[in-house]
Amino acid sequence: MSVKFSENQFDLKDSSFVKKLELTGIGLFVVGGIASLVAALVLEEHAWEAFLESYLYAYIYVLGITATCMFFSALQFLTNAGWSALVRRVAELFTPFIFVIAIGMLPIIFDVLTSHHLYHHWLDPQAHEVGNEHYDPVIVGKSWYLNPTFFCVRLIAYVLVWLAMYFVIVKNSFKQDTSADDQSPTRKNKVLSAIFVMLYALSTTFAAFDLIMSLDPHWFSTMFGVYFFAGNFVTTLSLIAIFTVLLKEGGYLPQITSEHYHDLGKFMFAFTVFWTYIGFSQFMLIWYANLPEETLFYQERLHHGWQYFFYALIVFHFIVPFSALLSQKAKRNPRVLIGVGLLIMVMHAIDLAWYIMPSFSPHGFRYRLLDLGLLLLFAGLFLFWAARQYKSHKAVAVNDPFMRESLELVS
Amino acid sequence: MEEQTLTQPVKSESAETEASAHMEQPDARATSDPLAVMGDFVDPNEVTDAARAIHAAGYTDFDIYTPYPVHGLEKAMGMKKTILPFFSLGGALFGLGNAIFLQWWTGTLHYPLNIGGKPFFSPWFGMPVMFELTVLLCALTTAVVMFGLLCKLPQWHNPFQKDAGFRRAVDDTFVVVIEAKDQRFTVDSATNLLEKLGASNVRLVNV
Repeated sequence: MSVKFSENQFDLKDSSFVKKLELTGIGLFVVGGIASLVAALVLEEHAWEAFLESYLYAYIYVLGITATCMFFSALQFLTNAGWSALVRRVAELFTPFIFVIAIGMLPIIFDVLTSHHLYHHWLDPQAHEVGNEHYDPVIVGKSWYLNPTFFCVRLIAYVLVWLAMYFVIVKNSFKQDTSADDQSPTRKNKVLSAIFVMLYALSTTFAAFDLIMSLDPHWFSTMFGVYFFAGNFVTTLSLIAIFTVLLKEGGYLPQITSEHYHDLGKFMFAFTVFWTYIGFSQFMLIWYANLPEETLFYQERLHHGWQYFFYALIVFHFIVPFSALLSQKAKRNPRVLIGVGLLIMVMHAIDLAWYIMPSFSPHGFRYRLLDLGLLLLFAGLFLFWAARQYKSHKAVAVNDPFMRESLELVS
Repeated sequence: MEEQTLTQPVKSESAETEASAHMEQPDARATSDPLAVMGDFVDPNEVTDAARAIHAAGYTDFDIYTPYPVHGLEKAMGMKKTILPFFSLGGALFGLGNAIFLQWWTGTLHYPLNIGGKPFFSPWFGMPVMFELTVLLCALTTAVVMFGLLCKLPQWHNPFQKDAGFRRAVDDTFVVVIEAKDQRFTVDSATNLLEKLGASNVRLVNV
């Protein structure tokens, strides 16, 4: 049963929301750009190397959110979710950023092929030379997997998977907007999302292994991909919740009720717990087994100042959001959703810094202006890109077959 | 009501055979004291609207028996929010406290054992037990308080069961029951209200 909306409803082309979003994006981009330039050229001795490290950090932040927005969309199709018909498009309008993500992979591939900075541990030819003082049998043993050719092929494969996910799942969802009677795009997505959810799981897991875990090729954890996913998912849900609240409070999505807030709040609450559960499982097994090759990771991250990030994560990525979202009233309160959502988004940046940056600076805490600058630059670009999408798409999937269910949602 | 219930054994077979003639022929066992007025609905949306109207009319002692959970019904009925979550929280905190105390006291004070050079107590290895006991006692408290304290179960008999139409609430009918203990209850007003709301088979059930 389809629901008729008026022609111009959810058309935010000329709204102040989009203008503000665009300006915020440009503002963050400019501030971040200037900060990065100053930091790279004035403060850093080795500008290119410093740039690469910060770039990887900021890039992974937006990469995770963009890919996970597509996963969120696919998940709604896969589960026949009715509650989210009003909300799903909010996530989908972030996903065209995947083109920036695709191009953004180039500096990393360039570094692997030529300047050998980020992954110098396993790219070092001396480590592969028998008899050399830097000879490293562990790295030689992993060289079938960690070699420049295969590495670059994999990075390109991940990008292709994410692009395919965009062109199949998100484009099909957009196609449903044009016709209320023909539900074949939604029906197709239901089947295809099953495949793409699996491909998403594999691609982000291995992207986390390749981009982050191989910075320190001696260390390994099978939980790492899930940990990366958990952080991304709770951050993505926070972003969706923040935008849903902003659109509703701005009067653009009057159909959103506290029932939708409640569902988003439950989702955020559940996945902060999931993130903690995965993070703790990874930590406790390594702590208890106490094997030198595994504890190295936490050795670096629990000393030299990095431990303050670790403690901050426990408090502000778990205890505060958990307590804040525990009651039903809080989950239905838009201010709480915005507050906790922003907190989680900031803590995800801290989380990434905590597990990426010590690989470059194991013996001293470091959070540089360049890290923050590039993060803001990417965030600005991300918001600007999203604002552009509101000009060519409606803010709601108007012809979604589940629209009535979402409108009458009681959670 | 409770005492009378005990003196009247359940006669399930005879009640079923009398079902069709219930409206015309008053139950021989029934006294003249009214217990409740019942009415049937077949549509969940209609019964939700009816619940809203009955609540708006000022009734508080009324209930709706449905074959499956109907979303939003409790809000339409104007039900107060349950205090159950606070019992759950209490149970959870009690479990957490117990788990911490048990591991800390046995590990460091009562019987310290050196196991693989690990500390006698650490929140890290204690976490799974803390988590499990928190969840366990939270769940147990919730279940016991909900069924035992708030729902007053187990209850072997409810006088509503004498009404044959009431049993269809577990099958295909949404039964609205306005109880006589309500302050506003009169047989006429309750019957009129239910009939006005479109209930079928509106009937008086005596104690």
